[in-house]
Amino acid sequence: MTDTDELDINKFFSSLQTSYLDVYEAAQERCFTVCIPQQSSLGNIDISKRFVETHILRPSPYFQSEFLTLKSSERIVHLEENGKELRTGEGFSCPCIVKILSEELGYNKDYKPFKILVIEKPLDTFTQVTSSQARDRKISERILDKDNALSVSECREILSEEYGQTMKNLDDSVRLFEANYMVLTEYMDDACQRLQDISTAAVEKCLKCGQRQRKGRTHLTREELDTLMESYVVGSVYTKVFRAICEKLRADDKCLLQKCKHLEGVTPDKLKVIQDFSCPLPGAVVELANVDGLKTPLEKLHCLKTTIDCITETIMSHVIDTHNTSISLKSSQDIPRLTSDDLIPILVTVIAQSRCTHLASNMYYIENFHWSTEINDRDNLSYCMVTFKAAVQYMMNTDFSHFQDHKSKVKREISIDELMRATKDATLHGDDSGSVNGRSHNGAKPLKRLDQQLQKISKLVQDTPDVWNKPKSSTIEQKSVFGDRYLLQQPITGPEVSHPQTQDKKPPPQFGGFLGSFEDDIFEQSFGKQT
Amino acid sequence: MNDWNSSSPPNSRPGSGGSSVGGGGSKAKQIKLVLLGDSGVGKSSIALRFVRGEFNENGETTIGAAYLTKTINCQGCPIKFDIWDTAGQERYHSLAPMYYRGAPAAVVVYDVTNVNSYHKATRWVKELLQQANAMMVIVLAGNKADMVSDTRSTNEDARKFANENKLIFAETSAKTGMHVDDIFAQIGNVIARQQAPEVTDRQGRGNVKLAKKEGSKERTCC
Repeated sequence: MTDTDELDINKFFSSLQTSYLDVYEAAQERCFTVCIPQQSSLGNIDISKRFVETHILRPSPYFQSEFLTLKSSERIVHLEENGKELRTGEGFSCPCIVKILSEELGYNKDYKPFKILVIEKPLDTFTQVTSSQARDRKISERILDKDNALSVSECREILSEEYGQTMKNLDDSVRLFEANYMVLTEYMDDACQRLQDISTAAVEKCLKCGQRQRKGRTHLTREELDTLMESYVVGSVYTKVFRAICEKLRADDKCLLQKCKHLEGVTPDKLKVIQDFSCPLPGAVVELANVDGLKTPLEKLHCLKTTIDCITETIMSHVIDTHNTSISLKSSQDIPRLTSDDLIPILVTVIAQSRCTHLASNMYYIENFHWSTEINDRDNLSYCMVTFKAAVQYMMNTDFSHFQDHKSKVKREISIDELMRATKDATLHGDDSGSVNGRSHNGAKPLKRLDQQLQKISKLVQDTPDVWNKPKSSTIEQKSVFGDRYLLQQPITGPEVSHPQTQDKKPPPQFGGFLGSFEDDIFEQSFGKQT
Repeated sequence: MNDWNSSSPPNSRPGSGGSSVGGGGSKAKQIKLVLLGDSGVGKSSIALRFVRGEFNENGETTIGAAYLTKTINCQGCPIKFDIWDTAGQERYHSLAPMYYRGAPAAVVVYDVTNVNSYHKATRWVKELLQQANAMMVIVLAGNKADMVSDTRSTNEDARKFANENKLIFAETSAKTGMHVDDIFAQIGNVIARQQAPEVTDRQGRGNVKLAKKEGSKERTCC
């Protein structure tokens, strides 16, 4: 995913379009290259006309990779051979190398293109920022952080520090809501509106308070305050509100969970995703599994975005590895691209594995209890939210039960309970293999080979009865009949991380005496925990 | 079941012609642009060609093509495109409204070598005209134009259809870059003009035509 555009927030670029528009238009007209020092490098630098002119480069009449600044023929900037760095040379007080971070193409009034280079730092020197300005910027950066949302406690910490008295009043309002307001599932809009009113009133007070207290200093903007306040207010009453939402969306949550069960062990390639993108995505699964534990709508929204980012990054590594080892793919153009056609089914498998019990409720919560005005890169978050909605709707409307049927037919592992049930049946029905009425666990057709194997297993289990009677706490020290691998596996309560590439591989021959006899058996049924 | 279609994505502004981003006095006009069309027509290739252009050909590899952004300058006004790829497969067709809701611009792509993809593109256009924002700027793009030597016969219907529905029509090639930047520049211009109070109806977009150079060799396969 592409990050926020630097130009959107860049004060130098902003000055170009306002204070120095004439200079900028003149540069556009002649298709000169405009260098934009990235926002974080600008500090409290004064954007003077000289500074602007230094960052507009015109081509040197002598060398192709050499540029002169707009108003001075003595200040020379070289484009390094790799095309990724600029080197300041003659005419600059401190010659240095400046990285080109990205390149944009602008069009002038005649539709002729000119280059805009976002560069690591100014080509000229600049003064240091003051400590208070640095602190304010640090707070703003935390609020605007594209990758992380602030938790309730972090919001409180920032707000209390800045607006102590207002926060006391706000806490009273929140406490009143918590104690007296009953969230009704049919009137969720009202609950949302009340919380929004509390938040808006507090923002207004903070803004007034900020004007009085901090004259001459930069303070939190309305957007930043909106974001902080929303997270703090909604996060503070999360338990009460979310409980009601879960009640409202109980049927959806249940349906989604049922679909997840149907999709258990299903890999992306089974959902018609190209083989190149079918790889294990444990990072994304774990990330999404965390969503239930987060409190604020923004935290949850960021969790969805991080999940998609994890998917993209993991698949990119996988594809690049494949690409590097494949002789059939020769140029970068041959690398497959991850489009929405692939992303939706991949997300479906990640949702299925993460086993979120309240995903539908979480999405309702994000959509309805997040109202703060958009700041910065919120559209990427919007895209992630819509992609999740698309994946969830696709899950809801699609019948995946055939995967369940298929799985039961080709199941490679059986659970201990099933094994014991089956052995019990086999014992009850005697030793005559022809009369055994053993069935697969869903009551399908009798399987004669399975019957034979079950009889053998039953006999062996009877010979080692102590295994079943020992307490669970001592399992690590036990010598299990199913080998050490089984003993170390804990019952799955959290996300299931499937490894489609490895799950078909034969386990190493570590069964010892008990299952050693089955290693070469045509039945090829592995034993242990069912996934 | 809860109606997932009924709710807007967070922060979306249905019916708006895009939003402004950035601080300070100068704000980039932010345009959500959806790419629609059959699977395999080259939607993501067009987006990648526009966003990455030549800069990344020797740069880092990226596979993500579902969401891309790029800012361009149209007549001195910075316009940031948020490009949303949509799933083209038929099984995901019902999910598309979630993506195009609130978008002020759409590029409907078809493959000039595949007549079925053209028919599907016309279906998308009709759906957008019925369901989407009335002010939406729609581009009908016949992609893979580098693969046919003479597109006059193939694009006649498309051009006529575009005229009838007041669409911007263009033949593009993501492979050679032919007209790719142009369509986004034209969208930017139309959106910028939509801000002006005198341009308030769909006629505004009908006047925009891509200037096709006579005897242009851009279609030549590289």
